[in-house]
Amino acid sequence: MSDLITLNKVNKTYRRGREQVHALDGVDLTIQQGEFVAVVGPSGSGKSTLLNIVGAMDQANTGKVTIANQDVTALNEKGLTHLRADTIGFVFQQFFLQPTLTARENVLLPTLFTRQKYLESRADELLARVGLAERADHLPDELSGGEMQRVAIARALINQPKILLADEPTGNLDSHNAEAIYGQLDELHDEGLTIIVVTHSEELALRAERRIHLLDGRISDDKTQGKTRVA
Amino acid sequence: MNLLTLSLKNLQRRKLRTSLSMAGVAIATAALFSLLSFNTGFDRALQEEMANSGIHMMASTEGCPLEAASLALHGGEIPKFLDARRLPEISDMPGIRTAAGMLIFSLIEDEGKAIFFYGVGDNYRDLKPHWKIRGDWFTGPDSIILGAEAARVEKREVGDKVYFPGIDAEFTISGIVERTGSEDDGFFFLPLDTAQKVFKKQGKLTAVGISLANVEEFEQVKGKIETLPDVYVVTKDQIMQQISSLTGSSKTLMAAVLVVALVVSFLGVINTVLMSVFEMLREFGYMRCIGASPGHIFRIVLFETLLLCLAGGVIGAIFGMAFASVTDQWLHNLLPYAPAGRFILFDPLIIAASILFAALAGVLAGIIPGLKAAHASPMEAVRNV
Ligand SMILES: Nc1ncnc2c1ncn2[C@@H]1O[C@H](COP(=O)(O)OP(=O)(O)OP(=O)(O)O)[C@@H](O)[C@H]1O
Ligand SMILES: [Mg+2]
Repeated sequence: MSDLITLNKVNKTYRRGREQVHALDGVDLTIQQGEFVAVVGPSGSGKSTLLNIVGAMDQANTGKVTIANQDVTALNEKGLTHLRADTIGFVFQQFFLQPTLTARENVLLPTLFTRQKYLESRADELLARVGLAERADHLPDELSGGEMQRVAIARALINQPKILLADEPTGNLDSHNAEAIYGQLDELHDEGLTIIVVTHSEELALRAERRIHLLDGRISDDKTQGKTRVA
Repeated sequence: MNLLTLSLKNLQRRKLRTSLSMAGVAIATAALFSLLSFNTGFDRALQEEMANSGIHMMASTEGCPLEAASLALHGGEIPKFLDARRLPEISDMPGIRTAAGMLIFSLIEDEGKAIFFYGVGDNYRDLKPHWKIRGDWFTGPDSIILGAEAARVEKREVGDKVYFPGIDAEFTISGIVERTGSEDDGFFFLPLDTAQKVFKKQGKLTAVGISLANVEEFEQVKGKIETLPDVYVVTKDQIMQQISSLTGSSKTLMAAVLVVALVVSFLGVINTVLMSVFEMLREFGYMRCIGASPGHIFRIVLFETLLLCLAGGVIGAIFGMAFASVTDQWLHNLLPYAPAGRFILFDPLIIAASILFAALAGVLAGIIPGLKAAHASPMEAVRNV
């Protein structure tokens, strides 16, 4: 297995009035291809900050970040855009579905920005994977929260990313709908996708094979755990 | 689906707001279309009218020829009169086809409205070859011919009598000139002798309208007429120039109104699109996460304004054409001197220019909101609200 993501003494500070907030404080981290990592910790401990830096959405103040052999800290805007487009898939707590686009069109949205082909069949395949084959022509309004998040997952996969990042993917869902999402993530992991989820949900954290605990911007605990599978 | 359809669908998300600013663009484009059409249409109509009217020059005692032209064209009195004996002298000159004497008088009615009388001889008809008269030409000394608009205002028909208290005279309408679209529509035409009697100007004329047998003899004839005592000649070109300068101020005023309309709708579009950009910053941030470059976001917003303005432009041009006759009528009434004939005609070039202008404005209007949107960072997606 190869190192897909490495963080070296990464610091991220925010200014809040006069105060400096150390959102990340000298984080060293290596994640390998195919890992399923859960990032947990109390509110404000820096989980989202970590995920945003790994997703090349945000830049570290100091330290070095390498993703898929690319030194993120050295990339310009264009390089970062390509990295996000080609290597990373994002799923957020909010689904960010375009209300005027059908499920299928939403799934295909990222292809408008990349060299990927606009292939409806590919979108339908992904929608079928997340159990929404029948819903391809529906607008987000006509979908439940869980279905919307599954569309968002299909969309995150359309560009065949190496890494799937999810920040509280089940934060807006009831336990039944959350369960479906867990199942999806399990499957994707089984297929070899590298997954990093930030979550407050113990149930979701248990699905991962590795659990990183953040406290005040530092990794306080990092352990490999047996995956809990619901048959 | 492509970026353009994405922009289109974004516009559909805010239907009311989109339609309102589209209406603004449509109104501005319709105004632009009308003004552009008017600018070319007016000159064309004027030239046509001048070409149609047999008048090549006018002779009067007014020293300032432009003053004379202006008065003769849109009514009014010249306080100095030409001796009627000049009329046969001019008529008898070689090279003259028609020399028609006229006596122009205005009468202020009780309501303060001025009515214009033209005392004209029978040969005046030669100067108005395009007149269509319902009824007859003068049938006797007490007959009168009304312009179409005059007849409408007076609510009179051929055969009716009209009484003018100001001069205590009554006439019988022998004919009504069908609408020409020109100033003639508002005039009252009397036989020349009758007019001279009624206005107590026996042996006097306001002007002589002259048509030449051969236009090439223009300068010669003009010089000859001016050798007559107290006679000055105003040429057709001078008259046209005078009309143009009279119209110039109206054109300037309309252009000013148009500029205001254009600026207002332009700002309206910027405002609409900027508002939606602010509302969508989070979504644009998300699009940045899934691989959109600042250029992609810029184009999405630019297409939005372009589509909005293009649609507004097309609607505006259609409305401009649909209401061309209304606008035409309005302009004819508004202008100090309006030649007969339509100003606003179907001209594909002007239609294309108007729509193109709207599209261009759309591109310009898209720049500020587009840049604002393009600056959205991926972090915008996860920013706390
Ligand atoms: N844009 C920002 N400006 C100022 N402070 C910020 C900003 N983003 C995050 N922070 C601060 O950085 C720290 C870490 O924030 P982060 O969002 O990473 O926490 P988190 O672990 O994801 O919390 P939660 O579980 O509530 O989502 C917090 O103290 C937070 O207030
Ligand atoms: Mg968070």
